[in-house]
Amino acid sequence: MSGSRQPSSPGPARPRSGRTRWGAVGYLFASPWLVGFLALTLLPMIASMLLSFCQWKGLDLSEIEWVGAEHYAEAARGISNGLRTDFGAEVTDKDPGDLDVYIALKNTVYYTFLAVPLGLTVSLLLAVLLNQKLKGISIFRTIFYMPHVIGGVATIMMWMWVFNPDFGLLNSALRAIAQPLIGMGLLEHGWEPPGWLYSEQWSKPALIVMSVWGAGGAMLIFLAALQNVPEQLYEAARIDGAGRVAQFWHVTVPQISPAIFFNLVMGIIGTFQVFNQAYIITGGSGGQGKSLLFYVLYLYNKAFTDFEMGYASALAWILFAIILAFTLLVVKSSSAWVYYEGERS
Amino acid sequence: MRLGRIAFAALLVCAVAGAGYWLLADTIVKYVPSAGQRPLRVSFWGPFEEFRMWKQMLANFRRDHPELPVKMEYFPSRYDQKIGQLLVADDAPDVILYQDEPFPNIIERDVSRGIEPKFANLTAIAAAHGETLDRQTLLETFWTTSVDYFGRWEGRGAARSWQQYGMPIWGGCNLFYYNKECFRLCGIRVATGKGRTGLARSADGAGWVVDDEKWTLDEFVEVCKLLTADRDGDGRSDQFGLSLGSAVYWLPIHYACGADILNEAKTHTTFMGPAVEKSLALWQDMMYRYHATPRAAELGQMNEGVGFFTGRVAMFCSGPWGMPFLNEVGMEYDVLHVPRNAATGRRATRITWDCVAIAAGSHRKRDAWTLIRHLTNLESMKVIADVQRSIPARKEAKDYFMQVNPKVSVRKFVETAGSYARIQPVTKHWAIMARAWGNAMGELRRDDPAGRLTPKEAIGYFYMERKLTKVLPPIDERQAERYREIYRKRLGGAAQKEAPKR
Repeated sequence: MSGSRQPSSPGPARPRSGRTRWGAVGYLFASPWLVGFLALTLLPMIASMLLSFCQWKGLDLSEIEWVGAEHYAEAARGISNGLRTDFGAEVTDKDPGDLDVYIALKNTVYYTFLAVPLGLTVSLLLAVLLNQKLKGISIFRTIFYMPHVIGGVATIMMWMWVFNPDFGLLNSALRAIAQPLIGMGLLEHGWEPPGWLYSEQWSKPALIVMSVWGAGGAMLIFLAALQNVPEQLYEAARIDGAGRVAQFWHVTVPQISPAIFFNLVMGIIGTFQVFNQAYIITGGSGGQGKSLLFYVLYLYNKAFTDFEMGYASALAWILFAIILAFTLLVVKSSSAWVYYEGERS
Repeated sequence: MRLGRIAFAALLVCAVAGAGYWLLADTIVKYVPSAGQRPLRVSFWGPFEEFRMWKQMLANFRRDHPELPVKMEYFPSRYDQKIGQLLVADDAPDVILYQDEPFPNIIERDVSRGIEPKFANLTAIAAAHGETLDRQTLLETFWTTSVDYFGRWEGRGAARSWQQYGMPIWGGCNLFYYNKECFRLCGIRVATGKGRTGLARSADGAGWVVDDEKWTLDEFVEVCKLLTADRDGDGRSDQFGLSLGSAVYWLPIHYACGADILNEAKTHTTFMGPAVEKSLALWQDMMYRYHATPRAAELGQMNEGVGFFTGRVAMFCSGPWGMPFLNEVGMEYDVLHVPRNAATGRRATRITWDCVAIAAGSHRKRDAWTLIRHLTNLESMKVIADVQRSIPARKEAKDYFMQVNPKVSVRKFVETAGSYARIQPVTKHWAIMARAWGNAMGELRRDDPAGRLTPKEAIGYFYMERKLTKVLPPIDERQAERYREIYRKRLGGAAQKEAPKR
């Protein structure tokens, strides 16, 4: 019997039995994740997919009512009529659908299209600065990375004070600058700096500025990528007469393009799901003129304020499709601009 | 080797058992018969002054019922959502403080769809303990409007009887708070007397006298304008006449315009016609024409209470629950009656009540009922009156409530509750209606003049809400359609290019 316990023993049945046993142990060790994935991710995903075709207030399971694709149609009608409105076309539908979903989507796309490029640019510039071989550079790296770690509600509250229209740091500085200009007649008497987070026009730009606070995360990835660029390439470029800017465009950027690609994809995924800032700043209302009503905030409100669980589930799946489409677009385009060293022989 | 395996297996079993206990302990405790040992859970919301008040009421309960431990579950914000989620999870507190607005929805019963009330029937619980909770006794004990909000007639014919689902605990009506210092700085005095109009020049001609017993809507607006001032001469207003947070606090003005939202039977919406247009136009004008109401950026992070006690706003509309904070900060303030309709001389404001109810899924209904009886007894009512949180729901506590703070005309809240206060337009579709109504009012006050709706467009926007019109149809569908058409034209872009005049 003892022979059967030797894993090295030959014979057709034994190794298989050993594999099975070791496989079971493997599954056992993986079981916390597997159980978590099945119970907390896959099951809710399936449930939300089914719910997206139902009407449910979320209070009583007996109230679930099958409505087919009505929620998707409502959102699609809202988005299409919202687009028509923006392009000045006539809305002829008696029921224009959910126009708020269009507002939420437009706000989110606006935020993504400005916050992601700005974040990438700032983090790349910071990484280039922090890639210098200077004394004490690690201290600077820590300082610039720190805001990324100190994120969350406290940071948002701090920015709310910075952007406070009356007592905020920013507007106090702007007023101090404006005072002599008013005296000189360059600004009119009673001039007011922007209302920032409390203004329909300025709230999204303010939030985009806030987003740069977390640039340290992408900066770290860029920094790691920059340190992997072979020095010989710069030497060769210098020999060929390339200046600093040319070296950056023709050596650095192609070499770190996988990092740019990664940060771009993660940035798009992250910004499409922007929620915390808008929720804390506006208390969930979406702010002045719904200017901070982002898609996930709207989805949350539908689910947990209006208790329209079915519609909220449909919105979640629409968001999934949108993010997937953008990600695939970036992935498809990557062959044209992302350079992988191992790919070309 | 064998020992190692046994140790590994034991460790694994312990880990699984530990994880299982961590996940399921609360559920096991809830459903096993010994659950009586678990403390009774009671949930409430409110600022810290109210938290202190609850501590006091529950300390008194512990004194009287040491055998019943109580656990406070304090949700300072998003209370309805959290309670809703706990009800879905069948993990709601045993005793729940709840508002009148969402109440009809939470106690909906539809046998055909298998929908049962989420709160327990208190009449049945009381009967099971040999007590009677009949409507007549309730009406004799509590304010009439408070009883009506939290109960309903059930059954037919001889079997028809009043069933109570929540015991009223406190409430109040909306009046206008005014900052005495702001009034003084603007030369406005409050006085009531014979022969005066609502707003008149003072005897020396240097200031104004306001008589809130008589003032009409126009005079009220005039006072708001007088209270709007640029004190430091930098061209920006430092003090605003009135701050109005949400649509619900506009109701006294809406009523003073002769407008309404629902018909008397609460089956149809009446958010249309000249009176509603006038009310909505005034809501917009207060901000953009008279600039007597601050824009969001002009209040910043200040809520109304803070804006009020710092003198940023001279008046705001609230119920008695505005008082604890203002008393705490020790400011000089008082309350004013709402203005009248100039033509009819009538005035009206909203009255709202809160109740304590028992979750239908509670396994401690008997103990929960004991706690509810304590929370609604005279001693607890006096604790509520001491904090000035609201008008205590028991009528016998009203004198005590009025005596606590002689510096403020608290009696006006009581007088109003007993005279011109109106029950809210509450139905089981409140949430849908309030959303459509709030959205329409919000669109009138957008910063961006190009995006701001006109009153007619806002009414059209209100009636575009299909979910609302399905359950609360317009009283006049043809008229509603005309408003919708105006809004659709706006959507079409023709109106969009031209900013509204207001």
